[in-house]
Amino acid sequence: MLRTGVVPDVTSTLTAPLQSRTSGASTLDFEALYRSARDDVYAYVATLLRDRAAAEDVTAAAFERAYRKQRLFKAARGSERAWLFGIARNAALDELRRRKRAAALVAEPADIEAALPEDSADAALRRAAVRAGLATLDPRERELVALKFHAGLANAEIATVLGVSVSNAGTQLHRAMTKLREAVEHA
Amino acid sequence: MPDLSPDVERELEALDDALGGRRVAADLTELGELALLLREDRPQPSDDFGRYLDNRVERGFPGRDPRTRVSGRRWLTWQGWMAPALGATATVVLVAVIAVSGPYGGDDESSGGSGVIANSAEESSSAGGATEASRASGSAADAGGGSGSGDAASAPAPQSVPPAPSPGSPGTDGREQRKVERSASLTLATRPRTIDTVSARIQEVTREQGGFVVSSTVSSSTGGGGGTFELRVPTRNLDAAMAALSRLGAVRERAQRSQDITARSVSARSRLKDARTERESLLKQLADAVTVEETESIRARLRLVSAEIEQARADVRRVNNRAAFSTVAVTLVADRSAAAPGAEEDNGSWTPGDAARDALRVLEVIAGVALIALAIAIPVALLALLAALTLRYARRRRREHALDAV
Repeated sequence: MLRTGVVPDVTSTLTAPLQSRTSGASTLDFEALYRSARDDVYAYVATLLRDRAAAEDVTAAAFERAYRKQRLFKAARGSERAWLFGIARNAALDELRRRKRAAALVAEPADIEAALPEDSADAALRRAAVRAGLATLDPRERELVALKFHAGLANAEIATVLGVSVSNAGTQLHRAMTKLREAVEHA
Repeated sequence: MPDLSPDVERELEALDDALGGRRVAADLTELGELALLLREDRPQPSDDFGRYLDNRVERGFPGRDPRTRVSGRRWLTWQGWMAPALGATATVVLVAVIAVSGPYGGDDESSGGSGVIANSAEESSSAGGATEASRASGSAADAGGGSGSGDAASAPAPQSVPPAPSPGSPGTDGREQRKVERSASLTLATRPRTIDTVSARIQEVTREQGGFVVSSTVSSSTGGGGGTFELRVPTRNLDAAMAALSRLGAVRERAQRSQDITARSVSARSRLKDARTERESLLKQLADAVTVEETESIRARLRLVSAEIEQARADVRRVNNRAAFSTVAVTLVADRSAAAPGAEEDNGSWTPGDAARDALRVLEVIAGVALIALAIAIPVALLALLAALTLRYARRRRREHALDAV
């Protein structure tokens, strides 16, 4: 548990830096984008759908759509990652609609008790509290958390993906984090 | 980040600092730790899925991915080139439709003096003609020229020329003894500069067909002009004359009328026959007359009968003339868009001026068709754009609603 003012450089599984990767050119290096964003897209979609199998399908579909539409990418409209996550979001929402038509959504139960092997008991408890708090968020708040912490998007990129202003995205993110903090504290 | 309160902005910056491994303010350490926990606890794809997707990316997503259920419902993937292709196809189809059924397709005018010729033919046979003819059968001496010479194949619209009103068998209806008066009217359009040439050709054609010009009025000016002609042509050559005249310009209107005048012919001949019989009788009476008074009376009567005979002969000639010759009224109008094929053939030359005019005319037609196409295509495109925007908005709404319904 961190109590000091310095946050250690935790090993991250993110394959790309968190700073904006906005490119000035309209040409898209799909291979590089794929390599940097594959796990991020999966993490975001899995959080949104709460279904790992569906998340794999949607992730594959999102990358295929992006591959086929890469010529339509316009750098002036936002970063490559924002463009990619916009596609992934649409694919995920389409999947939600499809599942809604097919049957009532049955989300995978959150594996609250799951812990990383190296977790200490305290860390495991804290992680379980975070997962429980995350489960209390509504879908839009959970999506914001996923875009920020699972996908690693900057606030401006989140705003582009959601189609809102940057300040609005920041406000919503702050509101979601406040709610999550309260949920974690009460967990 | 504008429009955010300082506290909110500070906490958001703390989140970014924590995720970026930078120092976080002491009072926000817990928030930074929460951010790291969230990042560490994100879902991870399985190795199998990672390898599977890597393989598909390396191969450029060949075929259709059986796993991508979300995209499998689309039977057609929209490609970027489809929009201009669809637009071009729609425009071509539109122009083709306009060209086929456009401003010149359903009009009663023939463009350029060839091709489509619209005729208005009418036939005004007298209602009692057949009855009169049947009454007069056997009394008429000479047959009228009911049907003309056979140049119908070259006539612009031979099917519209009314047949001679002589139904039935020639042996039973007295067809060969019937008198039919025929007349026709023709409106020709030609270019202003060829008014004089065509006028001269009308008179030539009339003479060639054995007819004559009863009256003519021709006026020509720079941008217009025209003329009217009253022609008399042998009835047997009427069809040939009409065909030849029709070739002198663009036929705007053509009509033919026929009227059975057998009864008038019979009447005139009967009066002539009666008068002659009476004269013969009077001559016999004159030979037998003995007194002066009787002789004078018969001679006075003979003078009257002779006058009647002359009158009856004149009537017979007039009726015969009406049947033998047909009146053709030709109206010549100037039209810049019309061609005068006959006149141009006579000139035997196609000048650069003609080429320039034709080219200008083609450009005018193309511009007209393009304008009409645009007049149709623009509203259609606007409607399509509106529909596309509406669909896009509705789709976005449905997607967002799907998220709310989770």
